[in-house]
Amino acid sequence: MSGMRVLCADPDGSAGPATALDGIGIPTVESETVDGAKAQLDETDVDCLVTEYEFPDGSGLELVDHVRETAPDTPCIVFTETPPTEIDTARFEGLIVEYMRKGMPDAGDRLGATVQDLIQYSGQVGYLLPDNEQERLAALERYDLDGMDVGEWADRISTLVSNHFDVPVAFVGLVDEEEENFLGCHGVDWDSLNREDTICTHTVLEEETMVVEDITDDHRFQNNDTLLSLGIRSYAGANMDDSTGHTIGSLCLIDYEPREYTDEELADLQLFADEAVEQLELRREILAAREESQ
Amino acid sequence: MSLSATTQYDFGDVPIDAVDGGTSILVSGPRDGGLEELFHSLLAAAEDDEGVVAITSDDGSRSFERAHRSAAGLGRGGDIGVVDCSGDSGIGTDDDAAVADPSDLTAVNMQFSALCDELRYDGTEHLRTGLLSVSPLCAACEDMRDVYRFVQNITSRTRRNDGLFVCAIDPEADTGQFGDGQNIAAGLEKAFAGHVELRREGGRTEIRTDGLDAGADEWQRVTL
Repeated sequence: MSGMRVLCADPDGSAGPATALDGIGIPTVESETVDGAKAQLDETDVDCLVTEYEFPDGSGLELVDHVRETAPDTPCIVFTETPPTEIDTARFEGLIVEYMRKGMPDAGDRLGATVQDLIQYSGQVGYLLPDNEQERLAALERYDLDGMDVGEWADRISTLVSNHFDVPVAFVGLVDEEEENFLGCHGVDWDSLNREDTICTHTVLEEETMVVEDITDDHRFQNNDTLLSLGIRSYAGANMDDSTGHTIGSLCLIDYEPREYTDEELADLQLFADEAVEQLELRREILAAREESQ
Repeated sequence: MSLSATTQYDFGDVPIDAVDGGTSILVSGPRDGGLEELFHSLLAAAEDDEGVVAITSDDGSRSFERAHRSAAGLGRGGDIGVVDCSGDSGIGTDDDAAVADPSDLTAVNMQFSALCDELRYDGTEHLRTGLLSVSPLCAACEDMRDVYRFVQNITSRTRRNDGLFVCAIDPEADTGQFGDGQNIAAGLEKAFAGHVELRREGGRTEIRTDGLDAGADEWQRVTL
């Protein structure tokens, strides 16, 4: 897997996971302390964390907690000989990690295979994935072209949609592998949000338009601090399916109060979403044709 | 049926076709309508080289293992490893582990992972794993994203290791602050390759599958 980088945190560097992973060609960065590893996480993009449990300056679970705060989709593996019964989880009850025993004969090979698999298939994300996620991401990647500047257009359609439905916020969002990127907005100035924090992450799983009349009544979002801190109370989203049938994102409405939508309004929202994705696709095709002719 | 080069998991008398290794299945239905029995029937080892590891959050490990032996039937369902997060402290065998609180998903997951690995290092090639049930975990957790991550991690490991994972949910069971279990079941379904629904209808127990058997989406009678 090209471009992959794994942070290996182990107080005994030479006997740690980095040696095993380097041996099978997986690039690593290393740290022998919790503080050093946190600094690495802050300075460097890593695709996976492999950590011992016990360090002189803390616990490997502190590192996992740090990852979940800063890059929540990053898979984490506790690679240790400390039995699970001796691992203190009191302060870390919601942390999901892969647990692997370090001292087993084939531990290095198994670690390498697990690291690659968890990265490739997004094995520890805090949301549900569409069945065709790999194909969906490949379809989305087709829109990542130099010169594909659609900011003004996406802001404009967001304004039109916001006025039509009389809501304070509307946006065009693309749901990428780990983030939702906002192509254009009206009423807010968002750039991107972690995918696990966004409602559109759930919308792309649906075949119909999705409505959340009050997020404080919805089990998926009622404790989502990001949404609550943005003041979001209600949501309606229509998927943008390109001509190959892949959902690349959603056109959405936000209100700061609970709100209901009629079937007619949702049908209109879907028409706007269809129009938006057609515009986007046409722009992509024109740009690609220009590049090809040069 | 013997296992061929492609790992398959057979379900004995339950009218569901064998599934390929790596498959995760959600089983939903009323607890008092046969959910537990169906769960154990799907989880029970059908071949000598299969092992079983489960998480129980509804009952303690002793009663869980009794129910498993009963539902699995004579000759099926030997010793199983159990992670007990039900709060019932009675640990059954050396293959079991206890986690005091179902909200401690970190410990539940690591204990479960360690038990699965122990079986694999002891030579078990094919592993059936299960969770009975996910509702108490939802009720105990503060954030559904933790439950999603927990389930994703297990389904991911199941696929990686050519295993089978069966997760049970009673849509009517208490899920605490999250309210409607029907919505939770409908959402979680998307994390699984297949869904087996259970119902009691006119004194009969019936199941219906989605995503598993081609063309078998009609209600079928089942004896549990």
